[in-house]
Order: sequence, then C-alpha cells, then structure tokens
Amino acid sequence: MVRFYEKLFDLIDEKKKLVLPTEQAARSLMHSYVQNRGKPVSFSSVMAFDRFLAILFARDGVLRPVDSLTRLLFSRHLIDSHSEKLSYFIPDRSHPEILDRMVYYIASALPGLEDEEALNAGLEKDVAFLKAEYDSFLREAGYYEPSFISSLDNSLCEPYILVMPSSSIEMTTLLMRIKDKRNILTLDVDCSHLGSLTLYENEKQEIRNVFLQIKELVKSGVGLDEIAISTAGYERLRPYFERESYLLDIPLSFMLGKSPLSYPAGQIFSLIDEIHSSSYDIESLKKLLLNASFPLRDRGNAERFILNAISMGISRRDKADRYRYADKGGIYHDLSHYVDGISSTSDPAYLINQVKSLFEKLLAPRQFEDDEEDERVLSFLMRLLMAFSEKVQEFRRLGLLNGQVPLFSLFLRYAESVIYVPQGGKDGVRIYPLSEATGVYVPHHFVITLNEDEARKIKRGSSYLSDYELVKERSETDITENLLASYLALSDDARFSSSTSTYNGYTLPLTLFENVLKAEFLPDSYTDEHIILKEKSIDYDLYPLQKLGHLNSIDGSLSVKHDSEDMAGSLRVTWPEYDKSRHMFSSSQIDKYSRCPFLYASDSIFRISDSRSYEIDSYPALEIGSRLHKVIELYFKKGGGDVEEMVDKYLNLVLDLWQKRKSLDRNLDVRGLSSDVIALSDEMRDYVYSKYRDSLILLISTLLEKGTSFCLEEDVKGEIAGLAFVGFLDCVINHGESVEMIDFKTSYVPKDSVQFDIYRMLYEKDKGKTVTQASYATIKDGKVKRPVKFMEEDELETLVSAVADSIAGGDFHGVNSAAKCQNCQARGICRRRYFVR
Amino acid sequence: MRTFSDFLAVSKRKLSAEQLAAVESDVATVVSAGAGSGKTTVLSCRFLRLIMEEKAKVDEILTLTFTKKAASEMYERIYSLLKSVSEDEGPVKEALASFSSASISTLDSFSNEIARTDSARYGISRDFDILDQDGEERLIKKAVSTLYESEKEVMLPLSRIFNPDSIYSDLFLPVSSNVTILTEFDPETESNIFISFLNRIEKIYLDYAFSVLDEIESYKTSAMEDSIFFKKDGVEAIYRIRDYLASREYEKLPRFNLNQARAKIYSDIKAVINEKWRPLLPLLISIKENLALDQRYMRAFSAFIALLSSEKRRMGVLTFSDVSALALRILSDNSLVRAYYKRKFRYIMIDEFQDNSSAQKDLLYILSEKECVSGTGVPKAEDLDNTKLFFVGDDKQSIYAFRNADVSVFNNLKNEIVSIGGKHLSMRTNYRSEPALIDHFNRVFPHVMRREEISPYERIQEDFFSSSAGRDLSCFEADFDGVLSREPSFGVSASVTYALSEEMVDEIEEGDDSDDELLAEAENEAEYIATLVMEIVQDDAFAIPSDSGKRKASYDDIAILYRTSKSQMPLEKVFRREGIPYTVIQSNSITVEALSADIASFLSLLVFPSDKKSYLAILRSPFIRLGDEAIMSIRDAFSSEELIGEPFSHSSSAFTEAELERMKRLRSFYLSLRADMGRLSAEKIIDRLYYESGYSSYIESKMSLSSYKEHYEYLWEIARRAENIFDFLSYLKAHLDKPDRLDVDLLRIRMGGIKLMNIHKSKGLEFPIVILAGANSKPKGGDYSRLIHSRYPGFLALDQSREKGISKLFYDFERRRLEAEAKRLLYVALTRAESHLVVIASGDKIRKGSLASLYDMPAREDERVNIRTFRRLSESQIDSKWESANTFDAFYTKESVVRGTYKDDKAGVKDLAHDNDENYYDTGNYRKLPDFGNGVDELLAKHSLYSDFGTLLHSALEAHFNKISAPYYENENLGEEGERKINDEARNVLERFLLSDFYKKHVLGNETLSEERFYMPYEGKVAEGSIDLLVLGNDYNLVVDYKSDREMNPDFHKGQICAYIKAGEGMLGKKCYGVLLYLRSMESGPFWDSEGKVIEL
Repeated sequence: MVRFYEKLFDLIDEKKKLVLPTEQAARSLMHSYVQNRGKPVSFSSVMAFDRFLAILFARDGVLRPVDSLTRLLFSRHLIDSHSEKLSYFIPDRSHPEILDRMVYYIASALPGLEDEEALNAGLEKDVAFLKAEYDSFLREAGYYEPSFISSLDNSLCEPYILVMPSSSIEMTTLLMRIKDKRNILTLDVDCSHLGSLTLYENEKQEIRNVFLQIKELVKSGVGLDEIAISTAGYERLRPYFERESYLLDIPLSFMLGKSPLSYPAGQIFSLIDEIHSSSYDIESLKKLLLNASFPLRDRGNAERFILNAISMGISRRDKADRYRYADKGGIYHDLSHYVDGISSTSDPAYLINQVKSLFEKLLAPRQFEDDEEDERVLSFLMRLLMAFSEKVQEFRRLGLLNGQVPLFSLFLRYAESVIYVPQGGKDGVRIYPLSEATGVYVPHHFVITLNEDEARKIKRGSSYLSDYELVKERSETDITENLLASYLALSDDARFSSSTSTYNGYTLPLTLFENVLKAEFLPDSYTDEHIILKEKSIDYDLYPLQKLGHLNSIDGSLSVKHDSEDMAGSLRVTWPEYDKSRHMFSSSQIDKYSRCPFLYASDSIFRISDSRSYEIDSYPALEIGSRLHKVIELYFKKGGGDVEEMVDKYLNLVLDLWQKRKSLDRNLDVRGLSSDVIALSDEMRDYVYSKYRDSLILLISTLLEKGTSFCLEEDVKGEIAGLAFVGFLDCVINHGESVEMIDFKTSYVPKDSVQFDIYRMLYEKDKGKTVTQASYATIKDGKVKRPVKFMEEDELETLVSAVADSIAGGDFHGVNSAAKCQNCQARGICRRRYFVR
Repeated sequence: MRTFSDFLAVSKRKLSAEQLAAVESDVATVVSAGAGSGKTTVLSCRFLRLIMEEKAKVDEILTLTFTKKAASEMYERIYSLLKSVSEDEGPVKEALASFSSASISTLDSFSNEIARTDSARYGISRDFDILDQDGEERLIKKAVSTLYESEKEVMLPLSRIFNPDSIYSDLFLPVSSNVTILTEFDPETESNIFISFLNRIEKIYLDYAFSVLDEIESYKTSAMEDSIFFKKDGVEAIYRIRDYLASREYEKLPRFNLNQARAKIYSDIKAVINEKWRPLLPLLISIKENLALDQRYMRAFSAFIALLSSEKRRMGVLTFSDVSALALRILSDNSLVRAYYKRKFRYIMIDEFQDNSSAQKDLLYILSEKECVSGTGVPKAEDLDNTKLFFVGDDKQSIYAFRNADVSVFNNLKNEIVSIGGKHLSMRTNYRSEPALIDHFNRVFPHVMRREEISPYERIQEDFFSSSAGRDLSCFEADFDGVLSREPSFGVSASVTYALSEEMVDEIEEGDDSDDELLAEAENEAEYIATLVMEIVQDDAFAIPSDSGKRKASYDDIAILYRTSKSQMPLEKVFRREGIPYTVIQSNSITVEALSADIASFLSLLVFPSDKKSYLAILRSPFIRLGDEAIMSIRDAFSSEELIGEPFSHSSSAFTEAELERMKRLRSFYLSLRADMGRLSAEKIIDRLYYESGYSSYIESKMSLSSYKEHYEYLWEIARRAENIFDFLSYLKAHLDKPDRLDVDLLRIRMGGIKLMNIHKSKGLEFPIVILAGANSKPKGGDYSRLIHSRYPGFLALDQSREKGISKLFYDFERRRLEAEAKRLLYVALTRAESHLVVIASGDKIRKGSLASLYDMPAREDERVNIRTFRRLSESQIDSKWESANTFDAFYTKESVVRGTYKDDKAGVKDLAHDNDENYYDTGNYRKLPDFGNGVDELLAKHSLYSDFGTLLHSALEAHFNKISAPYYENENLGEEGERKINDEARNVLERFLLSDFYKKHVLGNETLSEERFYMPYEGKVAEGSIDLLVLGNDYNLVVDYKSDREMNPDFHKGQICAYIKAGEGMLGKKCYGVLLYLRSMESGPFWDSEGKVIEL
C-alpha cells in the first residue's frame, strides 16, 4: 500500500473526518482502510467534497444544491421574461432566433457569476442583473449554487481535513475564495517529482500499446480491478477504447456513463424531436420505423408505410399531408398525433401522458422488457421526465416559467446532459476521465493521452467570457501538475504517456515532464498479421476474435468454391429450364447480353430492376422518357393538329396523370401506376415541362416534314436465326412501298445496338415492306440524327444465335471494362470490377 | 546565455546572412522565402529573439500558419528552441513557464476566437458550433426543400432550369459558398447590380468591337474580294455592321465565312477575325439576352440566403467562412475588440501567406493598425504600425486558389509594406535539395514560369475585373528568379530522371496480340513504378546522404506525389502485391471498391430485410461466397417485386452441406446484428461485421488484398462520426462508386514505407527521393456554370443565355489563374526532393493542361536528365503476379490469450449474512403480524408495493431523526386517494413509533445516528452496510433495524444484525447490542450481542 494512504488510515484511526475530491476517492479510501486495517469505517468519517459542501451550505437541510435542470429552466425564464435587460449579451434584437440558443449559454454561465474578474461597464450591468435575479431565485426557491462560495459559513469546516485539495479544481477554488482560513486543515501530496512521460507518434499507437501492456499485466496474474486508465480525451476517445476492448478482449468499465439518449429507448425520444423538427423527413421516419432494436408493435405495417411513402415520392410532410395516403395501417396517423402533441405541448402532465401513450401505441406490449438494460433506461428516462415535469411545475408555481414554452425540446436538452450509468458490465479495467480518479488508489494506473491542450486542468475565472471583456488579466490556476502528482502518490505503478498527433490533429505532449521517453512497441498480432502469415511465426498472442474470424472464413470466404471460378465474377451454370424455342427475345435483351452477360442475368433472371426502392429517386429518368414518348404518340394517334397547342395539351396531360400516380397504357387508356414508380413532384413537373416542351415541338415538326403517314408504337413479331422475337417500333413513316423507322431517345443515342437491324428484319418479313432507313431522334434537342448503317442479315443471325446459345448455356460472366462498368446498374452486385472478386 | 547573439554563437544551427536579416528585421517585413530556404527556422528564431530581447512576452506574439499541422509543428519548434536556451532565470525561463498562453494557431482558429467575442451583436449566440461539410450540406438541402414547399412561386423560375437534383449541386451549394451569415441580399439591389454590370461590360466590349472593326478595315486592301468577307456589299457592309452594333442587334452580326479566303493576303485580317472578332459575338449576344430576361430568380436567392442564415442562427452553427467574415466584421465595427487585439499583440508573424485571401490580409491589417489610430474598417497601409507585421511566403508555392487563396494579394503586399518603410527580403538559398537538383530547377522553371502573352480580349477582362474588385488582380503569375544552392552532400550523386512511355519516344509497331487487353494507363504506370522503387532500394545510383557519408535508399525515403487521385489505387494494389511497404496520406478509392460495397449491402439488408439487390450482393460476397449453382437455384426468391422470405433462409438441393451450414450461420449472425441495430454504434456494428464474419481474415490471407485493411480503417472512422447506422448507411450509399476523397485523416499503428500523397498534401514536407507520378494526366476540366459567382465583381446571378458568353467570361478569367497555379503545383512537387527526382509521364503524347506539358520540353533540353522509357504491358503479362491465398492455420489453432479475472471483493452485509447464516434454521412457524392501518396492505398487495412502502417508512423515520422534511410518496397508479392513504399511514407509523414503549425505553433521551452507512471486513470481503438507527447510550450503543415484514421471524436476520453490531463496536469503540423493531406492531425481537447471544436489556 502506498505511503500516502497509510497517513490517511492513521487519520481515520485518530477519528479525524476526511474530505476527498470525489465520492469514488472516498469509497476507495474506506475500502482500502477496511482491507488493510481490518476495521469497519463509517461513511461519516470519509466523504466526498460535494457532500462536504452540502453540509456547509445546507443550513439545517433547508437548501438543495442547484442542478443543471434548474439552471436551464431559470435561464429559460430569464430569456423569456427579461431578455431586454440583457442588452450586453443580446445587443441585437432583430434576430429572435438567437434567444433559444442563449438559454443554454446563460445556463452555462450561471455558476461562474461569482468569479471575481473585473468586467467592463456594459458587461458589469448585465452580469449584476443576472446575479441579482439568480440570487433572488436561489433564495426564494431554496437552492444553493455550489460554486457561490462567498456565502459559506466556514466555521463548519473545522472538524474536516481536505485531502489533496490542490489536485481538485473545486477544492482549490474553495481554498482560494474563503478568506478566513483558520478553520481549514489540508493534507496534500508532494508534487516535486513527476517521473517520465512515454511519447508515442500518435494516439492510435498509444492506445493500442497501453492495451497490450494491460494484456501483459493480466497474463502475469494482475486482476482487472487492479488496473485503471485515466485519459484526458475521455469522451472523444471512448469509441477507440471500446474498439480495443473488443479486439483485444479486455473488458472495460467506463466510470462515467453515457447519455440515456444513446440507448434504444432514448433514441426514440430524440427521434420524436427529429421527426417533428424536420417536418417528418422520410429519413427520420426510417430511423424510427425500420430500427430493429425498437420493439415495434407492428413492424410489417411500419415497413409498408415507409415503402409506400417512398413509392409516392413523399420525402417530408407537405401542406396536403400526403403521408396520409401512404398510411394503410394507421401508423402515421398515430405517430403524427403523438409526435405533434409531445413536441408542442407546454403542459407537463400532458407531455408525460402523451409520451407514455406513444410508447404504448408504437411498441409491442412488453416494450423493452426483453433487454434489461434497455428497460432500465426507459424507466430512467421516464423518471427523468417526471422529475422534469415536477421541476417545471415548481417553476410555474413560483411564476417563473412562461406557460407557452414547448417543453419537450427543453427536456431533451436536459436529458442530453444527464448521464446514465449502466448497471451491468462493471467488471473490467476502469476508465476514468483525467481528473475523476483523483484520490483513488489504483495499483496499476495508466495516465494517458496527456497532450498539452486536453490534459491541462486550469481553473479560469469567468470562463463564460472572452478575454477582451475582462478589464484585467484573467485569474487562472493550473492544477495539472498536482493532479498528476496525486496519481503518482496513489499508485504502485503509474505510467504516463502522450503522443504528438491525435485523432483530432496535431498536438504537443504535456510539457510538465522533465524526462520524455520514446515509446517502444509491443508485438501485436493485429498489426503484424501479415508478417505472421508470411513468415509462419507463432510468437504472437492470438485473440479470441481472431480465432473466431478465422474459423468463420475457413468455411466461407477462404473455402474454394466448388462450382465455378469466383475470381472471374462469372455465373457459368447449366440452365436446364431454359428453352430457346419458347423464349421470346427482344432486341434490348440481345443488346444487354452483348454489353454484359452478368447484367443480363441480374436483370432478366434475378429481376433486380424490379426491386422496390428504399430511397427516393429524385430524377426518374426512365419514367420521364416514357411520358415524353407518350406525348409524341398522342399527337400522331389523336389526329395531329397545331403542334404547339397539342404538345402543350398532351404534355400537361401526361404530367398531370403522373402526379396523380396514373399513366396511359398501350391503348392510351388511363391506368394506375405500379408501386415501384415514384410520383412526380411539383418541382420536377415544372422542370420536365420547361425542359422538353420546345424540343418536343421541334421534333414533331421535323417528323411532319419527313412524311405524311405515320405509324406509332407498332409491334412486330417473327423469327431470327430460328428464335422468336418481338419488338415495338416507336415510329414508322410510310413512303409508299418503303418505310423509314425512327426511335425516340430522351437524351442519348445508343452505340452498337442491334435494335434497328432486328426491327428491319422483323418488319420486312412481317409487313412485306422495305425499310430504307432508320434513325434515332433525341427529345432533348428535338433533332433526328443521321441514319444508322444496317448490319448484314447473316451477320445479325450469327450474332443472335451466339447470344441465345450463351444464355442457354448459362454463361453469365461479368465483363471487365471501365467503359461498360461505369454507371452500370448491376455494379453493386457484380464483383468483376472489384479488386476483391 | 544572455543575448540572442550569444545564442547564435553557440547554436548548432548557423543562420545564413539572408536568414539572419529576416530574423533581425525590426520593421514590417515581407519575406519571399523559396522552397527549402528555412522559413520555420527563421520564424522560430525570430520568436526567440523577440523573447530574449524582451521585446515581447510569449502571449504578445501572434504566430499564424496555414494548417493545423503546421501550427502544431511551429508550436513544438518554438518550444524546443526556447527550451534549448537553458536559463536559470530571465525572459526565456519566464516564457517557458507561460508557454501554454502562446498564440500559435491557424488563422481559422484565431478568427474563431475573435468571432465569439461579439457574435451576439449579429444575432449569433456566442457559444456557436462550427458546421462540418456534411452538416452544411444537410442544412442546404433542408433549406431547398423548405423553399420548394413554402415559396413555390419564388422557386418557379428556377424549377424550370434546374431539376431537383441539380438545383442543389449546381445552384444552391455554390450560392451558399459565396455568401456568409452576414450577407444581406436584397433581390432588387442585386438585380440592379447585375444589370449595371451587364451594361458596363457591354459598353466595354462594344467599344472594343468598334475598335476591332477598325482594325479589320485597316487590313482591308483593294485586292481582296469583298464578297468573301462582307457578302454582297463590300466596304459598305462594314457600316451595316456598325449599325448593328450601334442598335445592339448583335444576333445579326456576321460570323465571317473565311473558308474561301485562302490567299496569303488574307492572313492578317483572318487573324484579327479569329482572335478578336469571333469571341466577341457570343459575349455580346449573351449580355443582351441576360439584360432582356427578368431577374425574378433573385427572389429565390434572397429567400434561400435568408432561410439559411436564420436556420444557422436558430441552431447556433456557423461555417468557417461565416466565422472569418464575422471576425473581420467584428474587428471593423467593434472598437473595444479591435483595441483589445491591437494592444494584445505586439508582433504578428504569418507563415505561408501566399495562400491567404484578401479578407485575411484585411484582418491582419486591422490588428496592425497604429495604436493611436482609432479607425473602423480596414486601415490604409500608412495607418499601419510599421513594426508589427512579419509575413513569410513564396508566390511560387501558392496552390490553394480553390480555397479562395489569392496570390495577387501576396504579390501586392510586398509593395505596400515597402511603402510604409517596411522591408521586402528574399531568401533564395535552397538548403533542402542537392545542388544538382537546384541546377535542374534553374533550368526548368524559367521556362515553366514564363508569362504567356495575353490577348487584348483577355487584357480587357483583366482590367475590368480589377476595376470591379477595386484592386489589381492581374499579378497572379509567380516569378522565378533563380535559386542558390548549398554545398553538395559528400559522395552522393543527385539525379533527375524523366521516364516516359515508349510511345512518346519511339514509333511502336502494333503487336499481333491485339486480343490481349492492355493495362490501363495508370495501372501500367504503377507496374513501372513498382519496378523502379525496387531498383531504387537496391541500386547505389540512388544512394542518399547519411550520417556516415551515404547509404542505399530505403522505402521510407521515397515519396510518390501526384496531382490527381487516379494514380493512387493502382499504386496501392501493385505495392501490396509486391510486398512494398507504403503509407497513403489520404485515400480516394475506398468507396469504389468491394469492401465498401459489401459493407453497404450488409447494412442495407439489416435495415431493409427485403432488399433484393443487397441480398444478392451478399450471397456473392466474401461474407458467404455462395456457389453460383446455389445462387441460381434460389432465383425464384427474387422473382417478385419483394424478396420472398427472410434473408438467408433460402435453400435448395443445389446447396452443398457446407453451404447450408454457412447460410444457417450467417442467418443467426445477421439476426443478432439486426437486434443490435440501435444498441450498438455504427462503428461497433461494422466491427462485428468485419471481424466476426471472417472478412478480415479473408483480407489478411492475401497480400494483394491487404489495402482493404486500410480501407476498413477509413470506413470505421467515418462510421464513428455517424450518429447511427442509418446515417452511416446513407453517407456510404451517397458516396458509393464515386471516387470522392473522404475527409478523414487516419492514424496508423505502424507508419513507414513509401509515402503516397497528392501534391497539396506534400506542401511543407521534404523527402530524399520524390517520384512525380501521373505527370501526364489532366485534372478534371471545369465546366461553364449557369450560376455566375465571382468574388471580384461580388455578385450572384444566373447566365440565362444559350451561348454561355457571360459564363465563359468568368470561366476564362478563372482558367488563367488555374493555369498559372498548375505551374506552381509543379514547382511544389519537384522542390520536395532532396537527392533524387523522378518524373513519370504515360500515354502516347503529352497532353495539354498536364504537368508534363509544362515540364517536358525544358526537361528534355537539360542534358543531365536521364531519359528513360517504359513499355505498355498487357493484362496477361501481369496476371500471373497475383498470388494465391496465404494461410497459416497453426497460428489460428493455438490457444488464445486469457481475458483476466476481476477479483470482486465488495459486497453488501445483508447479502453475505443471508447467504450463509449458519445460525438460521427455517422452522416455517412464523407469527403473523397485524396489518397496517388505512387499508394500506390491500393497496400494497394489489400494486406489489411492499418494498416501496418499506423504503418510505425508513425514509420517514430517517427524516424525523435528521430533522428534515418528511418524504412524500407518489405513484400515479395509486390515484390520489391511494397516494394519500399511503402517505398518511407512513405518518401514522412514525407517530406510533414515537409513542411506543420501545422508543420511550431505548431511544428517547439519547443521541442517535440515523441511516449510518459503513464499510466493514466480512469473511475476507469489504462489505457495505447501513444501520437504520444507532442509539448512542451511556453504557452501550444499540443498533436498531426497522422491519416492515408481515411475519415475525427474527432469526432470519440474525447474521446481519450481528455484523452491524460488530461494525458499531468497531467504529465507535464501545459495547454494542442490536435489535429488530417490527413496525407493524412496534414489537422488538430479541436483543443480541455481537456473537448472537440473547441478552436482556
């Protein structure tokens, strides 16, 4: 046991009352005392500083310490009722949006109001007003502000000894502020020698190496409870610690919990706010309705609602509230009822009631009961909400809170600042924020990430103000050195480390150390796995996770595929069901297969393009093209007429229908849209109309110049190379015995397509007329392009039959061509262009 | 060491005369410091001098750098320098003690500090947060979609031009980057500004058009056939053109058909027409069209800008450009803040000033205003304190135009500083590179950086933009005036190599293996570089200096730089294959490779279990790698619109046993991840996905796959920033298949090997060997944009004309700056090299706009350059190099390391006592105790509240003894009546207690401790307990434990009470007894001593 602790044990034996910086420190001391001296110890002989303060302030139990919620509500009241008196803090009143934010700023400034910095005149007035209001509130409502030490009766200090006061900002402040120090006894550690600092190149190296050192300790029989880490970047680095814990299989116990809002039950609270403030943005709705960790009452219904909304192109609540039409199971109806109620109410009782009702309506009857921790968080949040509600009522009783303030966002802000400490998972290496372990005995203590910026623990007077606002230089007390010295004093093995770059950027290691040692790395099988494999070395530790991953990959990715070579990305299988004689081919199938056999398979066999969409496609190019085709078809099939007038009419018609989720079929009858087609938004309608109107007029006029007899959407059937084909011709212009074919494209003209070759062959056989030429017309510019050059018939037959044979033979290999693979719709499911195939 | 001269005398680092002149300059100074000239040394030495000479304290010197990295390096440099000057006392010691107050930062973070001082005056809460790029994009998208809903009419003119996708990316995103939260955008005013701009520019080009016509006329000779130029009317037609111009009928102006004018006499006139007349026409037409069209879209701009600002204010968030604008505004408007910062800093030193903007210069000017002047706005040069500013920069290294850096600011600065009595110093010696390389630079760069002559048309543009901006913008080219070199390193022969594809040097005959696909250019180049670096590390020709003379280069000594990201991934792949160690500084190809796609597919299926596409992708991925036959056999599952059945539940006879097992296992893994969706953070989910599935092992198994290891680390970092799996998935999907650079810096456990980075990232660094890769590739070309947004005239408008004449005007203006910047980019790249430089150009000819197009000619003319060529390989030539899997089962089958144990020695006294209470024998004959009054028991039974009520009674009694207010129990399930009953009964119990014989006999008149908590030793553990009531008597103390039990069974609690008695004795050092008090009847149990013996009291 370390010497400093022995001194404290003696003091306990002498019936002295000790005050330690934190509750943890007090408990640690008592625990060690019982272990070492084998005697019981009362909690009244060793206490945490905040309990000590409570004794000093409490005045016969009348006063309560003010908490963050009380400050928040007080600040809300102040901003709502007296913001005009804060003319320094809110000098410009033309932007009322700032007021909500100022609530949080003022709330955070309140504890610093008693700092004795000299302020300039304008500021002084505001600060004096704030202080007077706050003091009067504290007095009337029966609170004390722990940082307002001037009002303390220090005669009560006498029986207590403050232990390691210079390692605690709060204790240091107390000692500085209390004028009459006669009653105060202190006991401090020696901070003349800090030892050395190990320096790493970066934080990642540092953290990994600390964990490897811990692993070494554990291997040598040290218990996990005898090891702790104190880190300057606790919140920032938490995910990295959790990751190392997962990889290296070292359980951790985080000594500061997380916001309850990060648990599933809490996420629902945040999502209520997010959904409301984003006007029911579809992405927020997805987060609530598609999260499998939320025990939804009717998951199927929730998913259907999302899919319907997407297929209707609704991305947020609009004036017409179109979500209602997507809501077959009533989930949106209920959800919006409660979300709106919760978000807008200023009645605390109603708020609780609505929150409960929403949870009952949305979640399965057992709610979060299947997971103990989740259930505890939900109860925790409900208790928090009740406490919030009580506090609001208390403020209302005092006439301090505007009756119109919506409460839920205020509650969320409060809940964000609250910490939930999980009940389970405490049996691991403790991780403390840098100054939390002060006074705690830790046999093996890693004090890490001691980088200059983060590790400095400095008490700054009036920290809520900028430097320029202070008339004199700000008072500052740096306790970093004492803090680190206290770690050294309370450990058998304290190791300090730091790095020169962090996940945040570059940094300077803490400059307090005399001696800086360059870090040496421990062997690590994650970092050196490739060396292990290459050099067949087993001189490394194997972790359970590595073992598990390897076992799983042996049966999966590392197993050799038995039926085809995956590296080529090919699907080359026999396909017995395929019957060439009964299959109906189209020119686009031949084109698609020629472009890429795997693309053909994904489309025609796995029907990937029929999938329902989970994202709103903001530019439905295919649908736009088909509507524009219809305009041309309508013009020629409905008897022509004045081109401008008719294009206007038909274009409006097809777009109107689309907006109503309707469409014209092959007979130009009105039909409903299939659910995978997204409805047209107003803005897209305007765009399509303006972009294509003139070019449609130009295109039709050009066609009219070419001839007088037109046939649109004509179908042709026939055989090519013994295979059955069908095709639909966009436009055929009759020139007596011969015809000319036109195919409409929205913007791009395809290269290497056999479309016209197949159409020509089918048409000539089917209709007995000669096709003299064929051209593409692009709607984008209204122009008819140069006619295509036809393929020789036998050449076409050879090509078609080769494609048909390949399909029948199940050759669906992927091509590997940058040009073809770019923007390919099957890119996500094809492995050919990837390095890992 | 007392003086700075003492320091110089003993310091190892000797300053050169030009460095010393800079360090010792005591007036405002601009130092033009070339690459490798020792800028950081100068800045840190000057800092030291100011401290040693007591000219300033640590916090009175503001040192600004361009990047965070540079700031932290500067911080460290200065700190180490101060520390090296050991002193027992004096200014340096004082400086070291207060070094944490030093202001060494980037201009951004300094602006951030200033912006917070008075942001509230501009409606921005002073605790504002900084918006990252993603956050800003989300905000803009939200604003656009709000406008579509709320301001339909206003948005209509824009809806017709931009589709909903492009309106964000092509219009509002650029609009937002051209305004700040302080922008006041009045549509009327803005419209008028644009119209007046059009009028002014029309007048200028109209005048120019007349002068061009004059010129055409002057070249006309009688020998010319008029019809060629002027159709029918000969000379008279010129007058008609003049008429068209005068009446602004530009669309009627002739384009001049010069096809037939082939004779030599036409050459002059043709040149004038081609170069001067032709570019004019679309511009004039465009101006007229834009003038004719209505400017109603300005209202949409205005609504958007107002909405964006108000949303930022509401959320309390600002972008970096908002912060800069705000800082400048505050310093301009607020005299107190201005005075404070003017006073605070006695010296200001700025590094890399060539990469700063004019607004940043303004800010520094304000800070340097003479103390006696109390102005507003930006002071003139003559009002500057001429001792304060110290700028260091190099116009040849200005490469941040895309971030609004403006080299003309630096170039103009030199004159202004000299005009106020300051100095312009140069540091021309390059200490970094070997003299042979310097010699090469001195041959190459005079050619590269020579100024192109600009056309009269362009000259007008330059003048016009300068006059619009109110300052000279035309000095955007850097000058190269030769570099001096140091002594060569002993024994090292520095080299410059220029490697080109064979095609560029020789005529290559087409081979007959035309079926064999050739490697893509970047891949081929990567193959060559791999062989080259292997040569470098083996060959003495590439030896580099070392402490003991020279040594062979290692991979660590090499940096490969490139301008575009195209070069990077092929290099990574080949290096991995060949086992060449490397580190990439920034990854570009993560989202176009399989790992990202596979992870995205899996996450997508977690969120949407019927996503067919993702399901199929996973079945083919390393997560399971199902055979094709098996996949084919379940294709019916895909036949409808929605996936039939749950993922991984499909099977058929085509599945092998192993495949069935894999499906089963993946299904249970999938379900466990799905259940954890909201419980685990996004990064934890992908960690499980990557490691537990075995994907990581798969990647480890092949050297060629191992770049994915790093890809995974990048993905993990991105996932860590996402709030949840939904946000991460949507980020990933938005970037999938797009070779975007992800804005993530990665830390690595092991560094080392060849460094791969783009040229921008190499700034400020140096390497023994530099390879410039992809020198012949061109950056993606800019495009004419309909949105006109230029800093110089300072307006936002749309170019509504078809000809894009106005857009082209702006585009050309920017293009010339970018071309000038490319020269500087080449300068930065080449000057990173210390000993050896290799430039590599692939392709069949030098491409215009590439760095090779600048370098090629002067490099070929330098006879000391080694010219090399390399071949274009075919795919089949390298196929065999991709090796097979590499496993080593012996490692994975060994015992994995132990997890460690947690030696829990804490417990509760109660639990321990009840666990093994040997004195307790359960006879089952307990005496029932009476009910509480008020019908409370019924309520307690109904709502299972026995333990709640027990706690309430304990608290009520505790409150009584501690003299605090009594607790009030609330439980809404009870209703008001129930609550009242419960609380009344708690009060009644307290009253009954106070009236009880027990109280009168054992408690009354004695001091008490209530709820006395303690730790005690108990069977080797540290046990925690709490004594309900400890009565401090004269002869003995008494532990009282309250019980609200329904039956009387004291023996059950005996162990616990005995422990409490022992604790009581231990803590107070006095005899102690213990007893149970049953609150229902106020009866006590037997009195025990610490050994459990019954005693009479």
